[in-house]
Amino acid sequence: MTSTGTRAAVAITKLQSMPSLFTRRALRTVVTICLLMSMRPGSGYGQTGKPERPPAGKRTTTSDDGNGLIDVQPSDLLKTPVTNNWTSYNGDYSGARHSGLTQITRANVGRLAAQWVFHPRTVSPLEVTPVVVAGVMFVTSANDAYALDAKTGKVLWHHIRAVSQGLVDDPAQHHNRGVAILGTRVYMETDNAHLLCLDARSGHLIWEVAFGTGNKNDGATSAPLIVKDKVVVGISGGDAGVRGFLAAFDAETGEEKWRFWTIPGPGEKGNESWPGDSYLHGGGATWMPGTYDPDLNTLYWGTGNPAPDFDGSVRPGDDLYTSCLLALDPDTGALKWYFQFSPHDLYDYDAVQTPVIVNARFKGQPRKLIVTANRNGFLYILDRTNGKFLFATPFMNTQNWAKAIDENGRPIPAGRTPDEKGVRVCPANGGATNWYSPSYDPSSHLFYFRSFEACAIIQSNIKPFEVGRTYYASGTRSVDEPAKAYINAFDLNTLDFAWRDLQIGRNKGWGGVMSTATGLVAYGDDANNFVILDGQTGKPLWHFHVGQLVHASPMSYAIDGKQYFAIAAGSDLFSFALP
Amino acid sequence: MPPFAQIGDANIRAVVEFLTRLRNNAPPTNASAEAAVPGDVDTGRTLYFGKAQCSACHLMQGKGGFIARNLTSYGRTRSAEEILHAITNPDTPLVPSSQVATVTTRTGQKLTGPLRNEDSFTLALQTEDGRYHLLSRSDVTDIHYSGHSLMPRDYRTRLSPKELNDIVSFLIIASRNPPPDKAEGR
Repeated sequence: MTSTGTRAAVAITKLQSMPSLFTRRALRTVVTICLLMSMRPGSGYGQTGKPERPPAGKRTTTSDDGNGLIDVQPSDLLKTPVTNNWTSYNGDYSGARHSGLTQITRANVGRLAAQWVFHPRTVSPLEVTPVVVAGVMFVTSANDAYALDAKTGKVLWHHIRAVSQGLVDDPAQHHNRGVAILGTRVYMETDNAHLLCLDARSGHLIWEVAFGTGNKNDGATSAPLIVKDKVVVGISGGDAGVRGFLAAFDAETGEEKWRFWTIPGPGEKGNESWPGDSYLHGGGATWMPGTYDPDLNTLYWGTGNPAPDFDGSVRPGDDLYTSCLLALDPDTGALKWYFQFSPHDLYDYDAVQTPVIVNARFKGQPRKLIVTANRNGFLYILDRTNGKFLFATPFMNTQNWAKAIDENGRPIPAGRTPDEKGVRVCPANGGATNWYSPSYDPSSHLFYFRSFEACAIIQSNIKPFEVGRTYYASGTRSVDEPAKAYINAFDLNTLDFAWRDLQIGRNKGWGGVMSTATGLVAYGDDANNFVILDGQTGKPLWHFHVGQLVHASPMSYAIDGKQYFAIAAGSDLFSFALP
Repeated sequence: MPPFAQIGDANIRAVVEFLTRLRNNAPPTNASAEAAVPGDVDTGRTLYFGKAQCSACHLMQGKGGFIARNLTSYGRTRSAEEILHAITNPDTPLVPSSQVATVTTRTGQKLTGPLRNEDSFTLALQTEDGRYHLLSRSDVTDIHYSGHSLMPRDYRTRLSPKELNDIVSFLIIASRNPPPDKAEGR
């Protein structure tokens, strides 16, 4: 422990000295529902949240009443929280993955029942979060896209596209996390980093743009994000030595409007970490959707690890802008500010976990915040107007790579530099959390997320970049220690955990979480169950054995007054509702 | 069809990948006819997007309607004779998801459009405004199956033999020359 005296340093001591804090379930059930302290995001919040149904016989022109008319306007994407429609990967722009629907409650969730199963057959496990508009559900599986009747799961159209050969690492698994939608068009990324524009009414291809750099190690696994009239996409391949970037394309024409390189080129700030042409292979991938604050007109997007992953000798310094949160002008791509969680990362600690936009009081003052649980084992709170560090706390008992977080939010490394022999590092390269979604309930101020407790032996050696190969520069070995996983509820009022739910199972679950306006939290557990629990206490209320690994994050939608939950598990997509 | 579980999931996926690649990347089967298309391609393009009104329903290289099939690669694997037959003898065969039906609901509403799918419990009908009507059988009092798609059945009289050949030629040549990938060569 250092003498920095930071809140985080204190928190480390507290965490390690209170093992009972992390016993199995519901360690503290009292959650102060502090409505008076809340700053509700967006004008839409505060609506009833009941599934909205048009009057009998009346047909509106909106796409929010299950009427099958797909025509999403930019204003539709501003609605928060989402209710009938789930219009983007995370639901709304905040990344809160919080549904305003209120039909399914603590009292009736026990009667929830499976409605249908969709089996797309092309990839497993599915990592998609469906998008639902006007009763039509859009799903991706590898490079295929589907429109489904969201009441029945039956296919309305299917856009077929072959998977790509010769890809490297994650994109070679052909995972895809879903679509974005605007007007009558849906957008998706392909495994080889093409952006497709499909007609949402037919699935027909309208245009296609290859947004990679020509590097064969490029790939894409994310869902795009619509911001105003642009489609924003990120690149995968940070472990394969791509040069990361974000790019925005005109949603109508596919014309590229801007591109922000996450690895600075010669003459740019931060290039000192990238001698010679190493900036061309520096990683900093952008492989998960970001979030957007329309009031501040700011796009928030996390970046991945530097490359090579484990050999830092070839990239001296902080390795900007890897393992960062970027705040960008969505109109121009100009950088407003950045915050780097893991400078000179040596352990594959991507920072692509959802940066959740939260309006709440922080230490008594109303603030515009970003809350994010980082793969490096710390939960962070930032001021999203300027990127100022406000708070960090560890959420992993065995974290050992950092001594503390200093007053500026910079970690104080513990000196565990990988070498040929290997060093034991916690969290392991898979992270203390990962891409699976967090969630935030604005009424309770509870921030939910999955965490993972595991360590690894990380080895390093010098290796040149090669096209067609990964660029880890050595690898990892597992340690003979049991891993643990938790679902966590972090209380922004108390800046402490309300409860942590130890997962029982094989600790292989990669299921994200979502919350609802009725205080429910839904997720896939480590024993192949889709679970709904009480968000205030962590008490499980209902489960359904989907029989397959959940490697995706759930969502909720409503049609004709009926609320559904949907979750991908293994190679299938499930939907649930009350009878 | 024998069960293939014994070859394992990885091999099954590999076979599926191979088959989908074949489907997506099928080489033109009518390439040898390139010099012998039966009409004028430019005139065919004009007819396609004009007098013949093909583009009102069909997408071609990102332009056109949505209610009927995408014709961007339609001519890639079909002969001129096959395409001419499809234009002048639509619905042979009738693709089930293209059949137009008229559905009467319990509220008296009549909906007409392609029946995208149906079973014993539900049906999905798409009207020409693009709207999907996702209906339960219990909400439907009558269904009239037209036996036809939306494709006009009078092209043989609306267009001359030369005009038909021009459109056929456009469909074949356009499918061999997809629009350039906007980011290639960057």
